[in-house]
Order: sequence, then C-alpha cells, then structure tokens
Amino acid sequence: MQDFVGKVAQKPFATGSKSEHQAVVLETNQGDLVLRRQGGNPFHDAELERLIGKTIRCRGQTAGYMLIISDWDECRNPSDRS
Amino acid sequence: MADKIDKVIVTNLGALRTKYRQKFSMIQKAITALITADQKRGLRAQLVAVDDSTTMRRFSARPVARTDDPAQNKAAVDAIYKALAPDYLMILGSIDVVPHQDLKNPLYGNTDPDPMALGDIPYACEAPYSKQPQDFVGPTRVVGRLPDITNSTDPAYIVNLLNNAASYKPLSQTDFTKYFAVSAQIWQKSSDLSVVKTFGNDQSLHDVPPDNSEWSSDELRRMAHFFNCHGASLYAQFFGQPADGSQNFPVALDAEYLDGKTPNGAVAAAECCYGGQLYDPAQCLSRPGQAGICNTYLGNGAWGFLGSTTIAYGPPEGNAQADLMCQYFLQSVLTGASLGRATLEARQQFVAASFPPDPSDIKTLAQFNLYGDPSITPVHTAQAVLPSGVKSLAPYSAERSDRHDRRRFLFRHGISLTEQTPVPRRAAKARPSILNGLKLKSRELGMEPGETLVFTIRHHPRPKSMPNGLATTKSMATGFHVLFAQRMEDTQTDTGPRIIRIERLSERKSMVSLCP
Repeated sequence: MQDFVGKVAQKPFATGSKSEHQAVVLETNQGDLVLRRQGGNPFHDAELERLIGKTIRCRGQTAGYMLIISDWDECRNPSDRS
Repeated sequence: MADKIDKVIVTNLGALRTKYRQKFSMIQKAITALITADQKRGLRAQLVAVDDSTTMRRFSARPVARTDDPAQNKAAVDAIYKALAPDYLMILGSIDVVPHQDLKNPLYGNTDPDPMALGDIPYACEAPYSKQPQDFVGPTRVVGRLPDITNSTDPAYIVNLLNNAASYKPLSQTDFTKYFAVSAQIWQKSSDLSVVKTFGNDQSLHDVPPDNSEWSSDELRRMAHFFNCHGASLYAQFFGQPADGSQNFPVALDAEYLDGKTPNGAVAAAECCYGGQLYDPAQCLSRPGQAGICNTYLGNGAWGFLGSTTIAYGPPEGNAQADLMCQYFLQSVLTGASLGRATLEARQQFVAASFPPDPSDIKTLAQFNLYGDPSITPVHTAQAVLPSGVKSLAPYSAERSDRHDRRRFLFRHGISLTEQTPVPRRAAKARPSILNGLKLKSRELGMEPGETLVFTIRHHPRPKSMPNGLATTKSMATGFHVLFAQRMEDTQTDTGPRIIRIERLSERKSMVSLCP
C-alpha cells in the first residue's frame, strides 16, 4: 500500500472497446491512474464520482493502469500535494 | 503412424510442485488418468515437462529455467511441437505455470491502457518468439490451456478439471443449439446478429438491462453460452449498459452466482474485456477470493471457454473483432470440431475475414484464448463403420487419418496466412491531410476526436500468377489511421444511428478507421 495525492477527474476510458465508459481517474505527477474501489462497480461508482474535481490524498495499490484505493481524504489546501 | 503422439500435455512440473508441494501427487495421478482415458479414446497422449532437462534434451531444446519467461517457454513449446507434431497441444496450468506470451498491444496509448495483449497464440504459430503480435497472424497448431487457479495451493480445482476432461463424452448437436446468451443492451443489435449467425435464431438472447444477473436454472443449464457485455480487469462479473449509452452498468453475470449452476460440458464464448483473464482470486475486486468467470465455468465442469485477457473490441451494430472470433469458434464447435480445432479454425477464419487486419484485429487475434482440453469434441460426429471382426481401435485409426489430413490442411493454411497477410506496424507520424480529414468527419458525425494512432501496412510480394488487375497498388491500402472519437453529449439519441467505423481509401492510399 502506498500514499497517493492528486486531483480526481472524469475521463473517457478505452473508447470504442467493450469497456468504454467515463472513468474516474487520479491525476498524479506520474500520469493518470484509473480509480477502483474494492466492491465498487468498475464503470459507475457513486462513491468515487463524488470525488470528481477534488484533490485527494489516498491510500491504495496499483494494478497496471488502476489504483485500488481503500481510504482517502480531501485536501482542503490545493497546494497540499506533496 | 501408430507410434505418433496425438496429444501433448505441456506443463512445468517444477512450478506445479512449488505451488502444491506434497499435494502435487494428486495432480500427477489425475494427469495419468487423463492419458489413460485418452488412450481408450484412441488418442496417444504424452506429458512433457518444459522444465525437465533430460526430456528437453531429447527435443534438442533447453529446459525452461525461469517459469515466467515467455521466450523460454515459447522455445520449449516450439521444440516439442517440431519433434512430435501432435494433433493437440494442451498447456496444463495457469499463467504462473506456463505464462501467456507477452505480446505488445498495437493500440496501446492514452485510450487503450493495456501495454500488452497477453495470449497463447504464439504457442500455436511457427514463428519464433517475438513481442510483436503481427508476427503471429498465421496459426498452424491446435492449442488450448487447461488452467489451474493462479497462485493456488489447493490442487482440488485442477484435479477436477483433469478428471472432467478424462470422463467427457460427446453430446448431440441439438444439446448445443439450445443456448444461453447475454448482451449489454447497447450492443443488442450486434449480439442479435451473432446469435442468429451461430444458432439460427435470437430467441435466447437476453439484454441487460432490463434483465439482471439472476438467471434461472433453466437458462444456466443450457450447454452453449455466449456473452457480449462489458468486463473489467480483476472483476468476476460482466456488466450491461442501456441502449441510450447512459453511464449505468448493472451486473449481467456474476461468478459467485454462477458457481455450481452451469452444467458439466458447457462451452462458453465471452467477447467481454478481460473475460479470459486468469487472475489470482485474492486480487478480485468484486469479491475477495472469487475466481474469475472463466475459472468458475471450468470449475463447474465446462469443457471450454473462449475469452480475452485484456480490453476487447467490437462494434455496437454489425459484427467485427471479438464478435467474429467468438462466432467462428462456436460455429466450428457446433459442426463437430474439437475445441482446439475450433479455436484454430476461428483464428484462421478471422485473419482471412479481416484481410488486411487492422490494429484492433491484431489485438483481437492476440488476446483470445481457449481454456479447456483442446482434444475435447463437444458435438458427436459420425464414426467410420467397420466390418465385424475388426479390432476395436480400428475406427480410431480412420479418425486419426482424417484428423492428420485436417491438420496438414490447417498447417498449410496457417503458413499461407503468414506469407500472404499484410500486417500493420506502428508508424511515427500521421499525414496532416488525412488526420484533418478524419477529425472533420468525426465532428460532422457528432463525435469529439481524440487520440490518433498511425500504422503502415507491410505487403508481401505478389504471387507471380496474380493478374495485374488484382495487384495494382492503386486499390491497395498502405496504412491505417485510427482515430478514437467520443460521442458528444448533445448528439446522443436513443434511436439514432451509431457510427461504428469508417473505412475509405484516401488520395494517399491509406485506409482510415474511426473508432467511437
């Protein structure tokens, strides 16, 4: 498990494929990671969609292009992205 | 001919011993039982351990020293095939026993995030190890994988699969014409076409929504299963989507619900992304510990499952890519092919149908795998009738002779596909005129253009006998421009036509594709 900080955004994922959807992603310094949550619907997770537009600090682990997060906090101060 | 090995079971015994320790002997016993059962069916089967130096020396090859090394495994399988030329090559074990080959995804980029299109097709090809999937467009071998559970320590699962393969008996074609099919509603038109072309009717095709994942036992007990749904990495579920394209993805199929409900002998084909991903159940995101849908089907006794390791493609209307791969496979099974031959025929037919294959076709070919014993022939076919007094195994000699003829034909056809199929290779830069034309067209169609990928097509020399009219370069595509485009919100309608793909020959003789 690692800590990640970034802004949450919604972006098109795998356009034209059999998993095309609007993905919730964490924009990090190393690039975008598709956010997933244990037990959440991979294509439409209301819990994660609530975070869109916010900068968060989260704990999770990567699996390829995905970041599976277990808990997170909203960063009130936008500069708090260390 | 009598001494020829018909079926080779390829595995890494060291990897299996490491996984199962003292319980490994249960697997050995089940392998022996399968070989004995095959013998009774007239198949001479042999176990070959790719990590055994004595065995591999007999094939003039090096043993696999690193289990997860795709190049070593590919070289070992090639040597075994060359020495024994088996009619069936069965890989025994999951990807932590014999790995998928690490083929690069030709569509990899911002839009398709799979760096690899992992798969077993290189094991079915004569070309040496390569990471380029374009090198494997001419499969020649009948190959399937009977997987255990990745990272498992309990041998019960793979022992059950081996026992199931040993005890199988072909069924009638009518057993497989009553099917069970599920489609995301948004792809209903494409799925409808698929099931009509495969089963002759669309009576048993269900859409999600409005249906949900709690299928009746009558539906689940059918023998042929087909799925055209959304799928996600590390999920033991497939998902639907409404026809209006709204972002609502109800569960369409759930491995947990399926467990114990699908029948022994079922054959399934899933177009879904990651439908054939052999992940470690501990990593499952829908429910920790839950094996994937493919593993669950096989654990329930299914004879075969065709599925994709990664993100798969197919249009919402019409048929292409994953639609065709699954269709061809099921059609071949229904006409009496073994699961392995059905897979080889599907792959060859797919290459021929998509000639010249575009980058998404190349990914499709790379990512779909057969999981199951490739020698299982689900649909009973007529056997040669012999006079009384002929030895009991004689019918199998006739079958063997016919099978060898088929294998020779399929081998030649595969080689021919390798020699003749033009393949796309990634190019550095798009032609601005083509790119601008594509973007303009995409906006005209109400779609926002996104990432562009460019490929040049490498053609093979024309056969001497080809008439000039066919060989003219004026009508020959020299490249693909792939533009990923997203429908703009304000152009979405419930019933309006959805553009799937546009292909044209531009002034520059390039074929362009628009993939919304």
